[in-house]
Amino acid sequence: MSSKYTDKSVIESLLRTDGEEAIRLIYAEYYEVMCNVVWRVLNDKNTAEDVVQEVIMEIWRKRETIVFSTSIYGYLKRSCVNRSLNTIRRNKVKIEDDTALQYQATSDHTHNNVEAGDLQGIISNTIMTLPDRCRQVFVLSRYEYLSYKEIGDQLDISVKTVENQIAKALKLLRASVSPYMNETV
Amino acid sequence: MDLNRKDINIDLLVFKHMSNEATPAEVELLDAIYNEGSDASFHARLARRIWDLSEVPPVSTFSYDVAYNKFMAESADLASSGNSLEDLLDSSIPSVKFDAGKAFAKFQLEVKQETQTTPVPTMAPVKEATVRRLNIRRMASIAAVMLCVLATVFLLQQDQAFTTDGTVASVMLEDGSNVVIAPGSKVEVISDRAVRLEGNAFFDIEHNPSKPFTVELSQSAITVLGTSFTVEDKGDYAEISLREGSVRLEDEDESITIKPGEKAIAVNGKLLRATVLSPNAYSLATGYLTFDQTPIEQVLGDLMRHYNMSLSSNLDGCTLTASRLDLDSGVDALDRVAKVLGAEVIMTDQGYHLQGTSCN
Repeated sequence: MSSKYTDKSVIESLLRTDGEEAIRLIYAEYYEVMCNVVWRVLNDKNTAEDVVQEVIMEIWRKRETIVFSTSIYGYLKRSCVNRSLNTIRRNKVKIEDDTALQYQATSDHTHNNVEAGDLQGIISNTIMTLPDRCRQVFVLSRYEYLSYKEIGDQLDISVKTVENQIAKALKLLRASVSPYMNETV
Repeated sequence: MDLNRKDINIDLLVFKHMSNEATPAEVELLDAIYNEGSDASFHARLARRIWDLSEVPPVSTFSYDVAYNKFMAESADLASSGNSLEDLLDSSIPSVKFDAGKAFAKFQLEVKQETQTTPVPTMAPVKEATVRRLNIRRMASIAAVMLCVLATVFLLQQDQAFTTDGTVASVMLEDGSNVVIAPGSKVEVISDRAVRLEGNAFFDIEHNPSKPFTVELSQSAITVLGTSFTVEDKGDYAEISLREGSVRLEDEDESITIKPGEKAIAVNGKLLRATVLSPNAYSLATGYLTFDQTPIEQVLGDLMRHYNMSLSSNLDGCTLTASRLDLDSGVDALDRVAKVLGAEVIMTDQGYHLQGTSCN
């Protein structure tokens, strides 16, 4: 296992003996990465923090009994993904069908990404300006490793639609970087 | 089912997952593998890419060799065209900054509220003479990186005091109110809705009509219901600039109430009302100062409020233009201003003096 994080057995036993200390560790080690998981899916910083707060409160309430069967990181990320998907389902009306491509500039990402000028910045900006549904499908597949079937079931769309959205995302991403790629050849 | 790591065929696990044939336990294990940053993660991610490129056949007809060859061919294609989008995608995961320290302070408050309604045995209340820095000492053994994350927001409880050194700091009070404290200033918590201030600070007070909030100053006191405002207390002189809501300033024998955009001044035992003129009046809240052909006298006033330092200059009549001056330390900010003006910073008994020859 990665040594970057505190061992899960340490956190598990701390949760039972000194819950606040364990939660403090979770905040310190995982808060940022958890928020980013939700933010990528929902594209809203405030909602991301709310969702993560809910996930951690849930752990706090279950602190006497909770067991992380595989890894804490995996558990936390999965909880964040699940809660993000719940949020999407609750707000389903708000999400438009995005057959027509529309790019929305959102204030969240434009300032914060590394360097607006570099390729990685361009790509991550493009990902966050993809149409909502397209972005959701893409990040859930690419960065959270959900299967197409899982994504389809959760978002109530067919596996075929998931594939199409991913293809669309890749096409748009390719288009966004291609002008810079050619220069470097 | 025994999921002993040594026996796992990662490829198969990925493919089973992708064709919806994995058990929940296997999915959970795979999640852990994807995220742990080991060789196994790399292997799993590669398998995932290969699968993604195979156009999702059912696992029964999926041919690893065919998909792998296709993957390699595409990779070669991508490489020869200089177009390594796949690599770029893995290194360009969108991310933004989040403040874990602030969130943890919020968590502590939430837990506190929960335990007040449902009495559950928790840790004994900690009462210290100095501020409890989110129990930072207990974390001393954890990586230094995390200390930086947590050091930004402090939770200030009753009978605790917080003194800033050279830089601006932010504290959260138990009722959820926020205080941004200028360098070299001190905030002391007297009760859950009362603090004492020495120096300068910006207050953003949680609204509570049944419980007014009080800020005690050297010679006067401020009473508010829920609002935000900047306070500059120099002992015999105090100034309160109101951003929103309503504020009452009292001294021994009189009081004055001001509206947003106004400021109250306490000087020589008198209370005065004035209009907030400086666009930087709430700079402690915004975190930066902006000057647009601003007379140097006002620039120094803004710097003195924001950084709580004493300044003078021989450059009366000069103006300064600088956008978003957001340095943490007053000395750094002053150096920057001096550079723009072509002036020199001299340290004197009364503070810092900007010495220049002309308006540059």
